[in-house]
Amino acid sequence: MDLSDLRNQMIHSVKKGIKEEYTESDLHIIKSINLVDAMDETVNLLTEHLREWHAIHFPELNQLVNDNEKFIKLVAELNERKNFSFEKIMKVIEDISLAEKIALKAENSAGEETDKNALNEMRSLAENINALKNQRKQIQEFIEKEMSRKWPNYSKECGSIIGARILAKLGSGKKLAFSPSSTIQVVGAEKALFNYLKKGGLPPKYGYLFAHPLVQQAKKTDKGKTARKLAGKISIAAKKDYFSEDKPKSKIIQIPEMREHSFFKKEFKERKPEFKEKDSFGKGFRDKGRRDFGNRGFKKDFGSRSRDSDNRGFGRDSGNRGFGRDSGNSDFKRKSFGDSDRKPRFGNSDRPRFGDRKSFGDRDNSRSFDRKPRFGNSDRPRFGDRKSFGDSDRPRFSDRKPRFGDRDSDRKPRFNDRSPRGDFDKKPRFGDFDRKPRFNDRDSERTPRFSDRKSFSDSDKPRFGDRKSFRDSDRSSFRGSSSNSKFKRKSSSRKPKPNKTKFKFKKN
Amino acid sequence: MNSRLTELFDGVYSFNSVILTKNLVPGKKVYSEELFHFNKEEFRSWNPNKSKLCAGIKKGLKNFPFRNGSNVLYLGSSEGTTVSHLSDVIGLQGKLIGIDISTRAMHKFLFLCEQRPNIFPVLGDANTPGEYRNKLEGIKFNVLFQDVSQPNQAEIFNKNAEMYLSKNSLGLIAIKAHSIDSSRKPKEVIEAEINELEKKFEILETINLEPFEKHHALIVGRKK
Repeated sequence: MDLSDLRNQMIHSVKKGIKEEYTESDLHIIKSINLVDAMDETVNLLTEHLREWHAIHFPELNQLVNDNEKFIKLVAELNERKNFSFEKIMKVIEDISLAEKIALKAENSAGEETDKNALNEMRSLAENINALKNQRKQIQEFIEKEMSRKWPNYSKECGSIIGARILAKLGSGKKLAFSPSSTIQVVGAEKALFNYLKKGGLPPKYGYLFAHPLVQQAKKTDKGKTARKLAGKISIAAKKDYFSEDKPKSKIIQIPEMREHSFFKKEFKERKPEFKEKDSFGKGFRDKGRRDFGNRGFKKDFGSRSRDSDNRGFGRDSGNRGFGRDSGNSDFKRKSFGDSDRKPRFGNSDRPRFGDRKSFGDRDNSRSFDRKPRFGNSDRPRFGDRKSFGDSDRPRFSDRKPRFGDRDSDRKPRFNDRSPRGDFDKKPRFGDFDRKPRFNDRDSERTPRFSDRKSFSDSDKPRFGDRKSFRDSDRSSFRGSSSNSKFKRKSSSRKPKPNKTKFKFKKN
Repeated sequence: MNSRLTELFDGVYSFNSVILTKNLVPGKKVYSEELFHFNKEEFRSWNPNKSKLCAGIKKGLKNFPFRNGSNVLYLGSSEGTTVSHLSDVIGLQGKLIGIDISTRAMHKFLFLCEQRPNIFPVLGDANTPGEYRNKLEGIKFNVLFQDVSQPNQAEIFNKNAEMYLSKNSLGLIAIKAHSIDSSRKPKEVIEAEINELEKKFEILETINLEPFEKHHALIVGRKK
């Protein structure tokens, strides 16, 4: 059938294509670097199992030996408690103190006497874990060999393992050669990258390149820069390796290594301008405090101030303060501490400190009450200064009649004799204090309060308190006003009236 | 819950809200599906979480152009989970040509091909349909199905339809919004792709594949 021929041809061509792609590919590197990570995890898992299992027989060993390698060696070679003598342990581990402790505890151990079958299984497990560890080392060597064989320049720039990880993530050597340096910089931090792309914020500075020694040694501010520049050089090297036809080691092109790069040769000073001090808090002050004035000058200008928190025992703030016993003409007298003077350091700057101030600016000179008071400003009204609040008419002590003994002369000052200060008779307002209003802070023109209300709304409904009279709306007052006898209420009006007809008869 | 075997389309059945296809090679499984037996016939269950066509059927697909004897061009066949069900539907008289770019997936696809005689494999890039023109000479295609995850999905669809698909025949495409642009909203992305498809296709259905797949859409169109 034509169809079957066609089909066979297609299958054949597919197999050919697969073979072409698999020959001389980077798949061995990719698979092996994935294997290395998986092996680390499995080795850790198996050692945990071994520890818990062996602890049934010899629990003290599990507690004493924290290092996994030593533990596995001991179990692999000396399995049973009987074999744990000092000499035998020293052959396996070269640690005297540990060996002593183990040998002691082996005699009186809390574990059971287990069968040989179980112990044999434990021993074989320990041997297999050792074999896995050795294989992991071999695989790492294999990776390094392959990378240096296929990607010599690339593996020289970034290490063989970091290079293999980047290769594995990208998928193939072609993608590595065709990808820009920004992807190489960020490979490994995809989660952060796509979060940045979707939501915004700051992008990641490095991915797998974080493990590179140059990036790790750099300062915090320079880590991103080093990663970026490294990635640029790495991409050049990868392109060189991919597009060259012969790759023997003799043809490696000398790309200038990062350490010789001019970026790293500059020191801190050359890169940034010198830290210049301001004159107001600069050397002038500094010298004054140390040499000329002594104790008084320092404290007068800046108040008392405890330097103990800033004194670290070294640096600018330690040592001679310029006053006290240690000041004066002594041979040990440092005027500057070298670079630390200029460089900004913690505790180094002469910035004004919280405890120094007595006053700031113009606010101290004027004593107006309208301006906002500040902490330390002695002009603000204080709670105890008030004389009266509100319209309360209650009698006060100051209203009492003068008594014998209240003589004006030679009188000691009394609470009520104090004079108002400034605009003090004005009642303090809510905005003048930085504290919440208190019950006694009521104003004369006081804000309306809940208890002041006479009506809740604009309703015109008459209220009980609005009434002027019980009977007639004409009557003005309840009790009656004496001014107008017309509207005077008679007491008899309340009593029940007898049925009397009014008649008057007048007689001449 | 239908406890009866009902036929939804030609060759596609449903039983108790499980979608089934009649097994072309009785007794053999392709992936982790289950085998059902009714009236001495074997059926394979179709998983909507793995296959986008099945998810579309569950969400109410009306136009199902796969029939006994139809020729299908399948772009992005990968390991062959959906392809196996389509080959059940097509039968021995139909042909399904599966195209994929990855060698790893083709490796497993070859085992499928040896099992079923109506599947034809091609290792190639769907972006350049001229690559495999010689292999597909003389075959007239009834349906075009696409399930690739590339940023220019609509473009690929249009190119292949121009070359291989005959007029007034249907094409189905599963669009993955994240593979086009993961930072934009999926609705905007899908609308943009539909605008591109409308140059060559008259769109009949657009189905949202939630909760089976996130930010995916299945689009059915008839070629102009």
